Amino acid sequence: MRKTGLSMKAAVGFALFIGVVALSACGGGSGGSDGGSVTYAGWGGTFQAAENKAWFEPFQEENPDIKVLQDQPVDVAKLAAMQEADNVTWDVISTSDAEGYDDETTLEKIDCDVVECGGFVKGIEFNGYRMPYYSWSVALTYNTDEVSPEPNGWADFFDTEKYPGKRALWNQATGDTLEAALIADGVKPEDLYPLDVDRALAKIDTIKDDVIWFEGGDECRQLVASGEAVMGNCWNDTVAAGQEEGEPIEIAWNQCFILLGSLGIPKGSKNVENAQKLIAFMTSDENNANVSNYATNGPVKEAAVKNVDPAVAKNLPTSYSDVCITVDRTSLVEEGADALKKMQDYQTK
Amino acid sequence: MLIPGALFLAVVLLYPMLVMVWRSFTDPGIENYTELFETGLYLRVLFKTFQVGVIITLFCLLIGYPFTYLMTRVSPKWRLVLLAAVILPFWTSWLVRTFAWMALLQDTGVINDLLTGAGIIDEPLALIRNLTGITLGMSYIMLPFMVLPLYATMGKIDWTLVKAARSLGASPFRAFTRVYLPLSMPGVLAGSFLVFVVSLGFYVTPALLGSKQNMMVGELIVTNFSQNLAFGQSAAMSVILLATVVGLLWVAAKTTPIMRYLTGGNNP
Repeated sequence: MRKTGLSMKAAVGFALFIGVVALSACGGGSGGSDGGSVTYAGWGGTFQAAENKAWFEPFQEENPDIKVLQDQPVDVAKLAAMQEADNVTWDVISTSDAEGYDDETTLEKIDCDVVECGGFVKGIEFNGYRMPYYSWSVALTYNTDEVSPEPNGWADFFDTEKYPGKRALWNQATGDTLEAALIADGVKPEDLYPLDVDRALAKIDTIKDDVIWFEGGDECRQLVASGEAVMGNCWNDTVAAGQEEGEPIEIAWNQCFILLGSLGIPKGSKNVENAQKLIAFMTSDENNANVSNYATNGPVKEAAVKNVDPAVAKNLPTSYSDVCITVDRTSLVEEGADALKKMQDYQTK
Repeated sequence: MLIPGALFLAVVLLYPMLVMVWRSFTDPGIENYTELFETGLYLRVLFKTFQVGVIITLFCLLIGYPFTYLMTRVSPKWRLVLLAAVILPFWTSWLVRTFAWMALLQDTGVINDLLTGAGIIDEPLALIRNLTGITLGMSYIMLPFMVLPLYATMGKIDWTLVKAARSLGASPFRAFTRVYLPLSMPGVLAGSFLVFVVSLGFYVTPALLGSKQNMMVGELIVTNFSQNLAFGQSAAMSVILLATVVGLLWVAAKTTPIMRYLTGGNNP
C-alpha cells in the first residue's frame, strides 16, 4: 500500500521534473546585456578593491554610458562551465600565468586597433589573447630575526645546512615552486622550460623534512613572519603588507620570479566591444600604473613605469628586472596538468 | 507534501548526479577510470582518506561516548552547560576554528611556547602538519555529529534496567557491557556513520593541519577540476568515492540495523 503510493508520487514528481528541466533549458541565455555594460570578474578582496579605485572608477567617469559591473572571484572552471552552458556572464576576466586553459578556444582575440598591444616592459610577451596588465612576484622571503646574512638566491633557499630552519613552499606546481627548485639545482633561467619535473622534485626531496606547503600568499607571510618557517617563496604584495605592520620579513630579490596578471575576453561574452574598451583603458601608458597607488603591484607598460611612486617601486619586481626571471606562460599552460599530477604523486608518497 | 520534496531533490540532487555519472564515462571516455586505476595516486589518496575517516570516527567515539554519558547523568542545569560546550563552536566558522588550531599547535604556537618556556621540552613537539594535527582539528569539528545522535539514544535509556542488572548480581562492568552498551548502540552506529561519511569530504582542514602526505581525496578532486579542468576525470573520481561510500553503507545495512536507526525507527 505504502509502496504503490510512493512510486505513484515519484512518477508524477519525475514527470514534473522533466518539465522543469525542459522549461529552464528554453528560458536560458537571457543574460543582462543591454548593450551598455561590461562585467569584470577579478580575484576579489583587497586587490579588486584596488583595481576598482585605479581603473573602474575613472573609466566609469570617462564613459558614463557604459555601466561597469563586477563579479568575483574569477574561476577558470566556472568560466568553462558557463561556456559549456552557453551562458557567459563575464566580459573581462583576470587570469594568472599558471592557469592551464587553451587561449585560442576560450578567449576572443584582443583588438589591437582599440588596445595598445605593444610597449611592454622588457621580457613581457603578449600572445594576442591574454593582455598583460600588472606584474607581481614570487620571491625569496626571509625572517630577518632568524636569517643572517641575507640569502642570495634559490640555492641558499634549499641549503638547510647553511640556513637551518623550515621553508614555506607554495603548493603550486608551475609558475614558481618547481622553477625555484631547478634554479637551485643549477639550471640556467633560459633552460628552465620544458620543466624537468622529476629533477625539481628530487631537489625538493633533499629538504623534505623542512618543507611547509602553503596555499596562499597571506599564509606564507604569516609563516615567515612568525618564524614558523625561516624562509618562503612568498608573494611580494603580502610581504610589503607585512612590512607595513612592522613584521620582521624581507625579500631577497635575486632570482625573483616575475609573474603577470592578464586580461582576457571570454568567448561567448555579449559585450565584446565594451570589453576591448575597458582593457584599452586599463593597459594604456597613461593608466596602467594607477594600480600601484592602491596595491603593491607594478605596471607592465614601459612608459607607465615612471608613474610609479618610488616608495612603492622598491617593493615591485619591475625594479629588479635585471636579476629576476620571467616565467614562460606558454610552457606552463602546456605542462601544468602533468606537472601538478607528478607533484601530488610525490607529495602523497 | 512528498511531491515538492521529491521534485526538489530530483532537480538539485538527482539530475546533477546523473550528469556527473554520465560525464565520467563520456568526457572523453572510459579512460577517465582506467587512468585512475593505472596511476597509483588516486587509489593511494582514496585509501588514506578512508584511513583518516576511521581514525576521526574512533577518536570522536572515544571522547563523545563518555562525554554524552556524563550529560545524561548530571543535573539539567549542568546538562545544558555540557550541551552548550558542544553546540557553541558550531556557531563559529570551521575555517576560523581551524586557524585557531594552527595558532595553538604550530612550532611557534601557544602550546609549544608554553612548554619550551617552562623548560619542559627543548625542541617543539610535532603537533601540526601530521596526523596528530588532523585528528585534533577534525575530531573537534565533527564531535557534535557524534554527541547529538548519542544523546538522542542515551538520554532515553531507562536507568532502572541497569539498576536491575546490578541488583541481580551483575558487576558494574557486566551491567555496562550487557545492558547499557547494547541499548546505546543505535546512537553509536548512527553517530559513527555520520562522522565517517562527513569526514570523507573534508579537505581544507587536513590541508592546513596535516601534511601533504595526508592529502584527502577532496583536494585531489578540486585541483583536478579547477586547475586541470579535467571535468570528466574529476567526475570519475567523485563517482568512485560515492560508489565506495554507498557500498560501505550497503554492507553496514546488511550486517547492522543501522538503516533502522538512521531512518528513525524504534530502538531495539
